[in-house]
Amino acid sequence: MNFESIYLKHASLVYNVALSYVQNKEDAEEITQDVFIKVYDKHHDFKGKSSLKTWIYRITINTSLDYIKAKNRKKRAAFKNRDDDALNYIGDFNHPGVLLENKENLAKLFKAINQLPENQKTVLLLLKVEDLSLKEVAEIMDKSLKAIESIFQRAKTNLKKILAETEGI
Amino acid sequence: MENPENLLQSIKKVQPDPELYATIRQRIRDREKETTPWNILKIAAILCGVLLCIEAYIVIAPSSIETDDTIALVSENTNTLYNDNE
Repeated sequence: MNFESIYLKHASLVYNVALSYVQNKEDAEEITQDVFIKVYDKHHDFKGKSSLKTWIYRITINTSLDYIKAKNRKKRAAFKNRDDDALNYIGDFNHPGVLLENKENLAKLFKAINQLPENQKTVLLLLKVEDLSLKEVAEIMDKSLKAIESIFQRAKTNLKKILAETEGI
Repeated sequence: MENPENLLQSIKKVQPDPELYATIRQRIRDREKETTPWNILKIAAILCGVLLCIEAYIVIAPSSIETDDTIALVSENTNTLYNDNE
């Protein structure tokens, strides 16, 4: 399969997963670009141990998590230098797939989801936003079904706690 | 707040900007252009290394041969002189 066909088949998947992680159109586009540049570099070496879709999911998840880490480092540096513009930009919630009537609630919900540990956040997003099955998530994350179920339960419990604390304030 | 799981499931899938593919191809092209001078530099560095090795061989190899010859000549001459004196 050539690069253009891979892009046409998976661009929407990559963009929507990236949007779930960063909830921001501009950042999701940048992540999508980074993902496909990695795919371009490595697709000849792809050995087919997993499906192409699973492989692209993994690259997207890792690229999104790395992007967020880099952004947080930038945020800390901006805070040290009191660069208020950078701080405001990082906090943007601009998800094009969110209905207007849900925007406020989803902004609060994502603020809580963003405080979860990486693996809990990933399982929650893949199961509930991407609507993947437990088996698919287990394959992408290279874990057992039981492990995914347990991570999902912990994610739900922690999310409830964070939301309760936020609403308590 | 509504059930968080239902809220997450209400998010619609969106299509990326159609221009995104062109941007990605452009970034790949730009990167390839950037890497070309680096490749030329690498080839130039390898050539310099090879030339240095050849030059070092030319300088060192004959001098080692000369030394052996000189030793041989001196010892022969000494013997000759010694023999002549006798």
